Formats: sequence, C-alpha cells, structure tokens
Amino acid sequence: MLSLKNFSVSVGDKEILHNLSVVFHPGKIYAIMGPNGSGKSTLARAIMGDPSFHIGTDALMTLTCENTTHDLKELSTDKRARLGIFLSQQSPPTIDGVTVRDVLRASLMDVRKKAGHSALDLKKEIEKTARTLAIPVELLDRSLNDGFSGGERKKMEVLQMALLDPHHIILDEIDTGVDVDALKTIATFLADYIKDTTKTLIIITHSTRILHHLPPEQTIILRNGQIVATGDITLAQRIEEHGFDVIAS
Amino acid sequence: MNNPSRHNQITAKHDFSMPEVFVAKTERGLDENVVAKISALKKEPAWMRERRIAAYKMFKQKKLPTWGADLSGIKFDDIIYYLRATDERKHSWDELPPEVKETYDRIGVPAHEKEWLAGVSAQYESEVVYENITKELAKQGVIFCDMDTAVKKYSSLVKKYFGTLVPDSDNTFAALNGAVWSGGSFVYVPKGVKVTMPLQAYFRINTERFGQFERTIIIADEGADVHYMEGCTAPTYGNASLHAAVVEVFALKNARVRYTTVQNWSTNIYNLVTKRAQAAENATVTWVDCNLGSGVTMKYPAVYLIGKRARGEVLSIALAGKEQHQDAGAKMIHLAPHTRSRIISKSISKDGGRSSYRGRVFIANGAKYAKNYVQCDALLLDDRSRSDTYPTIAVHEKTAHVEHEASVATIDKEKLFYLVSRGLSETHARGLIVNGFIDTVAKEIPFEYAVELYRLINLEMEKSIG
Repeated sequence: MLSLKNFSVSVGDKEILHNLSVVFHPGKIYAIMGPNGSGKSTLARAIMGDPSFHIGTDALMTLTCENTTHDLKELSTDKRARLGIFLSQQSPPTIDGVTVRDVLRASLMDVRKKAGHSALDLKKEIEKTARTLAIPVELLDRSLNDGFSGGERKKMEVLQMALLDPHHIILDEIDTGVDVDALKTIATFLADYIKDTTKTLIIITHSTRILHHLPPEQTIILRNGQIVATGDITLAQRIEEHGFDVIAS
Repeated sequence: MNNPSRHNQITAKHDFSMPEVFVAKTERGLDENVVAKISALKKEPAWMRERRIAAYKMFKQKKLPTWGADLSGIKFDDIIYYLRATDERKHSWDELPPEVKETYDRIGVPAHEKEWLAGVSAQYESEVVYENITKELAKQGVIFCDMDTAVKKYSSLVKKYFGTLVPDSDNTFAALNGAVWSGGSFVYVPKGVKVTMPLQAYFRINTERFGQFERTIIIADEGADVHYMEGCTAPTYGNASLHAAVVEVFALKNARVRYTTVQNWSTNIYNLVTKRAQAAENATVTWVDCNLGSGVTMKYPAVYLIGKRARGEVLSIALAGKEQHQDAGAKMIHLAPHTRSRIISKSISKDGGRSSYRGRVFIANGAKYAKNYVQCDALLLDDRSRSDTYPTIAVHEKTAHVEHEASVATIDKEKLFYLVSRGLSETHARGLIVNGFIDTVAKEIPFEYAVELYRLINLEMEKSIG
C-alpha cells in the first residue's frame, strides 16, 4: 500500500502539487489523468525520489509491504526501487555505451545479489521477455534507447519492469508515442503480468486506449496540482469525450 | 585471501612489494661511468655502448619541456638506472624464483592466459627474465624476444631500425632512454605472416626510486599483421619513480600493426613515454592507449603516414583522479596522398584530477585527399577537476579534409536518476555511465583487459564518493 498525505511538492520557489492525499491499494489499477502541466509526472517522479523536487515538511509518504511501513521520504531512489517501486518514465533517456542488459545485470546481480540468479539465467530471462514483447533481440545489445522508436523505448521500460518484478508500478504515459500494435503488445503483456497478483498499477495517461485493456478501479483527475475528481472508468471516458472542463474545478 | 571484496583485492594488489632478488645494479644517479657500467653488465657490443654514451651526452644538453605537465618533482640523481632481477635467463615457468611467480599472481595475470604464457615476455624489475617463443611463432619466422637479446642475436636488424624513428635528439626522455634503456621487446614479423594471437608483455616496477626504461621495436614486414599488447600495474611507493620508455613501430607496405597499452602505474610514477609509428603504403597502425594510473603522464602516440593510402589510428582513454595529471594525445603526420587518420580520445577527470588532450595533425603539401578525423570527449565528474584541449592542426594541402569534434560534459542528472530508479546505487550508476562513456574505445581492447578496465573504473567511482 502506497499512501500520500498532505503531499506538497515544489521545484525551487514554485509549488507544483498542493496538499494531495491519496492511497494506492494492493491488487488495484489506478488511472491518473489531467491536462498538461497539472502535475502528473511530478507526482510520479516525487514518489520515485527525484532529487530535483522538494517534498513539503508536513507531507507523509509511506509504503506498507509485508507488514512493515517504510517512510519513503527517508529513502534514496535506489532504495525505493529495491523496495518494489517502479517508474516507467515518460521520456526514457539515451545512455551511451550502456545496454539494457548492463542495467539489469547491475541492478539484479551486483546490487541485489539475487540468490539463485546466474548470469546465464538472467540472459535467458531477458531474451524470453523481449520475445514476448516483440523487442528485436539486437536492441538488447545496443546503447539503451539510442535511435529507438517510441514503441521500442516504452517496451524497454516494460522489459525492465518485468525483470525487476516490482509491486508498485507507475507507468508515466506508457502509451504516448506508441503505435497501435506496440500499444496492444504492451497492454496485453501488462494485463497478463498483473493478473492474479497483488501488484498495484498506476497508469498516467491522456487517453482511454490503454484503459480498455487495463480497466482501472479508480480514476483520479489532477488539475493545477490538486485532485479535482475521482471516479470509476466512466469518468475517464467522459473526459476523453468532453475534455477536462466537464469537471468543476 | 578468503573471498575478499573486490576493493580489498585491488588495494592489496597495489600495496604489496616483494623482497628484491636482484644480483646486479648500478648506484643511484647517472654519469658516463654508470652508462658504461650498464653496457658492461649487459655484455653489449661496442656499437651499442658507444650509442649509449652519445645518447647520454645528448641527454646532458637537453632541458625539460616547458609545456605540458609539471616535471619538477623528478629527482634524476635519486634514481637507480639499472637493476637486474635474476642473473640467468629462465626458460620455463616452473624454473622462475617463487617470489617472481607470486608477484605475477598478485598482479592478477588472467588464469586462462597462462596457457598463452609460452608466448609472453614478462618483465620483472628491469630485465626480461621469462620469455619463450611458441613453436608456431618460431616456425613462421616471427622474432619475439627482449631487446637485450635482440642486440646480440639480431644486431643487423636492430642497427637498421633502432633510434631511426625516435632519435635520441627527439626529446629529453628519448635521450635518457637511449643512454640507459633496458628490457622492452623486439618483434619482427616476416612478409605476409599474420600473427593471430596478441603478443603480450607484462611490465612492472618493484624497487623504490628505480626507473624503468624499456625500449621496444616492432617491425611488420610487407603484408604482415600483428597485435602487441602491454599492461602494467605497480605497487604504491612514496618516492618518485620514472618510467621513460621508447617504442618504435614500423609497418611496411600493406602491413597492419595494433599496439595496445593498459597503463596503471601507481600515482608516484612519472610516465613519460615516446611512442611513434611509421606506416608505409597501404599499411595500418592503431595505437590503443589507456592511461589509468601514474601521477603524471605525457604521452602522444604518433603515426607518420609516409606511403599512399596509409592509415593511422589512436584510440585513447585517460582517467585523471586525485593528484593525477594525464597529458595525453596523439600525432598524425600525413606525408602521402590518400592517407587517412582517426583520433578518438576519451578523458575522465575526478577528485581534482586534470586531463589534457594534446594533439597534432599535420598534412603536408602534396598529401592529396588526406583525411583526418578527431573526436575528443571529456567527462568531468566534479567541479574540482579539470580538462583542457590543445589541438594543433596544420594543413598545407588544399584537397585535404580535416574534422575536429570536441565535447565536455558532466554526468547527466536525468541519466543518473533513471539508473538509480532501476535500483542501482548512485556509485554503481555513475560507474555504469562512465563505462558507457569509454565504451567505444574499451571495446577495442581484448576482452579480459576490458573487464579489468571496467572494474577499475567502478573502483574509482567508489573511491570518489565514499
């Protein structure tokens, strides 16, 4: 369970999120929608611990798993990741000379020293997941995201998610810049991945395309750094049809 | 060692020093008598003794360079210029003194390379003590021996090439090397012979205030192909030590020579090396040069492109940490038409270290359609460190094409956040980014060295944050 209370976030002197409170429960899907600049990515990155954001002193941010509650504000980004939080970034950067294999090997073998996980097992697992996601195998040995299409970049995010096996997954516009086929591949993969698990999925999106495959229990509308409405999937559909003005702010 | 952490292993590797097993050595300091004594101890022919004395006289006239790194800390009078580790040459690995073998074990000569050790010329102290040419190489007519042996056994070849590309008058340290040189390799590959495995040599300094002055000559005859590889580590000492080698490479028509160096001297060492190659018609010479250690490095591998369609390449990595100044670069001298050259330089500065790229590209009048490309990228890991670029480009040919690209960057915050969000510690993430930065050059060196290089970079990242 990921819980935010009085969650204010600022960059420099500018406050972007104002006193937000929300709880993400295990085994549920959430959709977060809102106009550009409403603070969706800020929310995602602040949960992950981007050091360029300042979290308000009254804010509470806790993660409860296996009967233990962790104060996320006290934990660095890598520790949050190792607790099982994953953020698929809106625009994953290009990293010269570093392959997706390098990232996963470093994370799973060097840092976590995952037991019973040989380099060969990891290699096979990466390749198997890549095949399921229809990622050309040669991309696994290229500099991460260097010259990749939008769909390839997002698939690489999903590939890393699957291997890192988190339980709180934030997908920041996983459907943006992705063609119909790739979106279907990604959405089907995700639906299958979380099926019958207690994983929490938080989908930040502008469209309901992906939500048809991953119907949310709750839709949260952000506007000007505040939650202005919550509802079920029909709220998402109304917004897609009529725009955010249907919600009184 | 019972399963120590990598950090402990590497620290231990640099801090040990074995008891000295030398039999003969000279006094500290240098004069004509010392030079004569070196020659006498080596039982050299008169021509080499005279050559050494002439080089010594040249050295006396030379001044330290007024550009580049600060060399004022070199105490020439404190250096032992010659020291022989064992009196007799050993021919098999089993016969080596146990201390020597232990030293190699501590350096970490890769296990699977021991199979290849038959072809390894390993330098312990200032003289090659172990050397054995594999039967295949000998059958092909390849000469691979230490320079002392070559002077006696192949004197006409040595006389023909020694000091012709790097004359004693070239610079102070070339003159010094001419006077006191010891060890180094002599390689001759006959016409059309392709040597499939890299010829490797390990160099090491093990005595306080003791300089190492190896001299290496590589000759690839017409159509020959050879890869020479040297890697070195040294224990840590408080006093200044000097490494002033000279390497001359001759690639004849259609030949290919690749010379790879992974240098990891301890930071008390001045690493002042003159490396120069000559490429004849359609020949290719590649220098792969990784400077990780030493306090001060001044090294600019050069290729003189003297024949039509000759190609030259310098691919280099420099890592400058605390109290290190890596002044490294390359020289490409185009003297014939359709010659091509490429310089790729990657430097990393951290913890107040300084790295400088110093390059010279010269295209002579008549070197029609000569082409040169220079890319030098610098990565600064903190704001106390420094990077400079000193490119000199002289083009005297209208049809020539010269390109120079340079970049200076710090570690990108977005990339760092991305990697830590995947569960990597910040240290690990920085190490990965830095290793990615040098990847284009690192993948040119043999795999086992690349692995060691990546490990060293990660170790350096740990040091700079912790």
